[in-house]
Amino acid sequence: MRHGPRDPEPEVRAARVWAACAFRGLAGEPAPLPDAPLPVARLSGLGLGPLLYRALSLAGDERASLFVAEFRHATTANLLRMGHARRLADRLAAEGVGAVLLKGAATLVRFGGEPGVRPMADLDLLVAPADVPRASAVLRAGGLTERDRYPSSGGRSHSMSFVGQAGPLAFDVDLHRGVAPWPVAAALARAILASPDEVSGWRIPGIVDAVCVAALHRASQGFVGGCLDLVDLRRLTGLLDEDGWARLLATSRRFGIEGAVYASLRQASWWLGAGSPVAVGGLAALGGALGAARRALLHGLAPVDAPIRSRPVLNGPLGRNLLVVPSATRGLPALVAAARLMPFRVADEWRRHRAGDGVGRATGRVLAQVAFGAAPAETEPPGARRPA
Amino acid sequence: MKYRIDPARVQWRVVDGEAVVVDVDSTYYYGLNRSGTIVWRLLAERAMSREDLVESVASEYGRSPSDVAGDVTALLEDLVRERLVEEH
Repeated sequence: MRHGPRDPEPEVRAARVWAACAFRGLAGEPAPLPDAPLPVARLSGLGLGPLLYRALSLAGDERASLFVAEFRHATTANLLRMGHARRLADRLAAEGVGAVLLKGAATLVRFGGEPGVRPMADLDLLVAPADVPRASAVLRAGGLTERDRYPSSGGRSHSMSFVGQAGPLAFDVDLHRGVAPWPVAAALARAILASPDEVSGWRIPGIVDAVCVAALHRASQGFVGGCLDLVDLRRLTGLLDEDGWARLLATSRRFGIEGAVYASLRQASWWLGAGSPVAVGGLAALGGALGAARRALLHGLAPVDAPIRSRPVLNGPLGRNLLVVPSATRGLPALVAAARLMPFRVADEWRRHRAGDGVGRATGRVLAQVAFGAAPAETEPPGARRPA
Repeated sequence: MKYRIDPARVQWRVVDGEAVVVDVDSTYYYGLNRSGTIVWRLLAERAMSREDLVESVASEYGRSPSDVAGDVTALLEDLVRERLVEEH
């Protein structure tokens, strides 16, 4: 099967080879650097700046300085998030609420290492629907205030947004009762809560479940988000053996999200490298399970280069709700299901998503240079200041 | 008197040779330059007195303790004032 556009434009080609290089840098060893031009703004826009900093600095390449501010920014924000997350998780546990970290925070916990390599916009916590009131109370008692990031959701969203701000850095928490805005996500959330992995004192989704969450998140964005989900997906699937891939196929079929999983992993493979023969076979098996017609439609609806071309792919309810997540309308009353197929709904959700926080955007204002000796005259987070 | 970092309050990492320090309570964050990071790393290993820090920094830079004592003291005062380091 064909995996990419026949003749990607030069900047897409360059971004792709650098994205794969950045991903290899996660292994912690210097990787050969491409000869291709370095499209800095494109790569930063894809969320790959921190990873590129790491890859370039490991290789001793002076172009690492182009991304050091992003890496420092992500490090700062994630240190704050994870510090607060530990406190919140402890408080929730004391109230008998078992919370599970999702998305970027779960990736950081599972893979450890430098917190700056995985920028994130907020901290995602999943709790059982019955625990949402108690969990909300714990967050409010911890100084966070609820905000409705998507006012038109009328409280029906699968998550609630909280923000805390004692000083210059805002600290956002999304409290989830589901993992995506579709009914299927409730079943996946129940599965995650029933058997989370425990890593370093944290509860996070199992590997297969985490792949499903990332794929659903990507699907909910119409597959045009940056590469952060893709990096998560490649790291997670890199942990799967043949049995693991079989479990992934079975799980995604059980939830009716094999289209979302396949389309996401296909993008990840194209951008970051296919991985081991086991991974190549696993992706082929997922594609095979879809059938030729549905697979071909997905290739058209979710092209691999979508993250960089910014085409309005999947900006239609048919593709997303019937082809990518066919279970999205399963079991719903006819009128509700019909409403989910209305074009404005998809466009509206995407618009609201785009209006949300940027990836890894720190909101701090103060950087005090309190060290002795000559202060370095290089990068600081935007808005930072030094005392006179 | 010794100085130590409160790990429950302060999170930190070294990025490009310079420490990024976050006060989780206040959400203020700080950057330390390379020489400041040397002091921070020493404090992260264990609680230390000002005299021990001065000796260690002087050894690191191949200078006499009197050359670095003023800077180390000023840095400690800043760190204590910002509540990144506590005295005990």
